[in-house]
Amino acid sequence: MSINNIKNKLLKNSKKDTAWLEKAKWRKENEEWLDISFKIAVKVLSALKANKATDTYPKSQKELAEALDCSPQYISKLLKGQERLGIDTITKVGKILGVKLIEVPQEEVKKEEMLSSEDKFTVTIKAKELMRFKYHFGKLIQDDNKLSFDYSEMIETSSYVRRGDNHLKVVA
Amino acid sequence: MKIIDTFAVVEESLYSVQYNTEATHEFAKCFELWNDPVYLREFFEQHQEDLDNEFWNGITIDEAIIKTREDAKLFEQELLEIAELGKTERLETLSTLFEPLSTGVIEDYEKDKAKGMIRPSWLRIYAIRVDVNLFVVSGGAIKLTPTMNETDHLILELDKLEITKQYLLDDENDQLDFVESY
Repeated sequence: MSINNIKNKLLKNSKKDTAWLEKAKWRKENEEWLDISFKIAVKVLSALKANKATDTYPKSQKELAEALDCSPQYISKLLKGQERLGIDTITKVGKILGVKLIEVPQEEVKKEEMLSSEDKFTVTIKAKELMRFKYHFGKLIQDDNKLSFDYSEMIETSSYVRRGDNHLKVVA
Repeated sequence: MKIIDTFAVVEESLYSVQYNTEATHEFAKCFELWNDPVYLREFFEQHQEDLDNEFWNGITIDEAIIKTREDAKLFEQELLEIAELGKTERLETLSTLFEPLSTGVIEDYEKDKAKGMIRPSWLRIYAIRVDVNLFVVSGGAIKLTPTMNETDHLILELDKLEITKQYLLDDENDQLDFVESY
């Protein structure tokens, strides 16, 4: 009986919180960039704290707003970790604070995979690309199924072959 | 501190109270705060000593902030899913997430706690259990200490559980129990 009364009381008197539901949905839908924005905010707060300890400029949200030439309100939003930040803003804030806030993973090229002018390499290319290839790289040798070229005179040290899929990048 | 409103987070399943001292209801407030880096930094700086306890394995403040948000994200999704599911499923109800605040006698309208998802988790949602899939959230906290009686913000949560219980029992002669999630 009392449970029913309480249930009725809750059903009758409670408001439906649609604002919160929408916010939770928004958080879910925007999860990827919110994750990044949140981590940036954590790092910026940490850098400001470190600057404060060593009396280094900028050491407060106000000083960071000055250095970034924006309003303190914008910094406040940035530090909530829910702001869509542009790459220019991220790099600028990072530069001001002397910390790296974002990094794009680079494809690592191992030294042993770099081509040298001593290497011989064979590539198979589509027929329609052949003429362009020939035009750029000159000495092209054709045998039964494969087209080969002697690149030793034209490659630079940044040419490489990626072992996984045999992708060849030649910088002539 | 007094309750001015109740909100249906998930209708017929998960409710939350709003106190006169707050701008929103407790369930929403918890997840707002647990997603707020400024609040979290201040909190962990204030409770650095508790965070430095070996139980937390030397976690830094930055790591603690990120862990809190990750955990809150999963916790929020889990609570909502189960609250919805519990309306039709008998084995997946909010009672599987909540447990009595203290071990011992299980009472009606008990004070319960639900713990976050990333174990060990310091996130807690506190609620009064009305029925198997009907809970009223009284508050929530980051609990870094083994007990609730040593820290002001956790003592406050105990008070809020009692206030919520009394609010629900108001105009009732029956007794209600509390539930804490932690």
